[in-house]
Amino acid sequence: MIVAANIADFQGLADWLSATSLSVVLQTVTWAIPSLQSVHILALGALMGAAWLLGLRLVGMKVSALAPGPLASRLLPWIWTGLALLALSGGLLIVAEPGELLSNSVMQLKLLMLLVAIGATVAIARLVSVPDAAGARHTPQARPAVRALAVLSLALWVAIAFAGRLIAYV
Amino acid sequence: MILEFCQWLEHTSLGVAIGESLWLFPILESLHVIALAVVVGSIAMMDLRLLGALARDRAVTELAAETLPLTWGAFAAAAITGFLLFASNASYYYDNTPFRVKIVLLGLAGANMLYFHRATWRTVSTWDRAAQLPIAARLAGAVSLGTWILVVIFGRWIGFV
Repeated sequence: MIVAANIADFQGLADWLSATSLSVVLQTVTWAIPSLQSVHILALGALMGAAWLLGLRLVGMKVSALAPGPLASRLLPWIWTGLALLALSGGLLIVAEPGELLSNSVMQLKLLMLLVAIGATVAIARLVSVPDAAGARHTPQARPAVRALAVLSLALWVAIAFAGRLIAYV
Repeated sequence: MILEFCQWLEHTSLGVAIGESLWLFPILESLHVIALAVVVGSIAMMDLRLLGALARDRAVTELAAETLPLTWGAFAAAAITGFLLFASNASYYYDNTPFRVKIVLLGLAGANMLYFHRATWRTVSTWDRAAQLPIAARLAGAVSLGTWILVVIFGRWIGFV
């Protein structure tokens, strides 16, 4: 995914990370990695549950009694909190195994998709929080741009979770 | 008896196909994680409302109508993918302690939910909009949240023993 010229930089970063005392601790404590992975999956739950509910509502399914705007206000904190915990546990997992993870092409693709998904979620958050001329925040139907972003972000979250599990297999 | 069933299952063409394929297992595993994540996330929303921690201003029935279809849809996907993963190496999983604990926990979560919907739910109209719910509802939320968190932990653990 990332061009060959960058591989040397990744190797340097990985070497430095794996020598840090935090990395050594995470490598030595046998239950550290499964525990971090469990936290990672639980945080993914917070994100996925909220992302699916919100996504289905934004594409027009009547999954909630709330209009898109108010539902987004309810669910976006779940998405951001989930993401923060995913970043923390995921960051520690990288520190634990930097050599394997940073050079892993599925991991690199995952991080790239993550950036786009975060961007799409920020855009959704902005669009649903500003009422348009018709006061769309409280109308039952989300605007077409929001609907498109909802489909994109849902597809990306699923692809990111998929990539996450496949990292161990490539 | 159960072991014989496991041995039969892993030798069916389905079990053999998943066990021998290079990609079927990881694909099923990914789908299983995604489905389980949706189950846990959507159930946690309901549990935290029952506990009185979040969404205290929303009716319990309204939140249930919002989350339950997603929870059940995702649970069906998790159960199907989980069964297929199990079929690939059934007698190994049957002997795997974290797997056994996970199945017991799933039974516990199911019994808790059944009791909640059959018994506690009958009086929902009297506490639907209350911020602080009756002890039976709060307990159901706590047991549900606890068992599902443990299901994830033991599920992840299956691959580490």
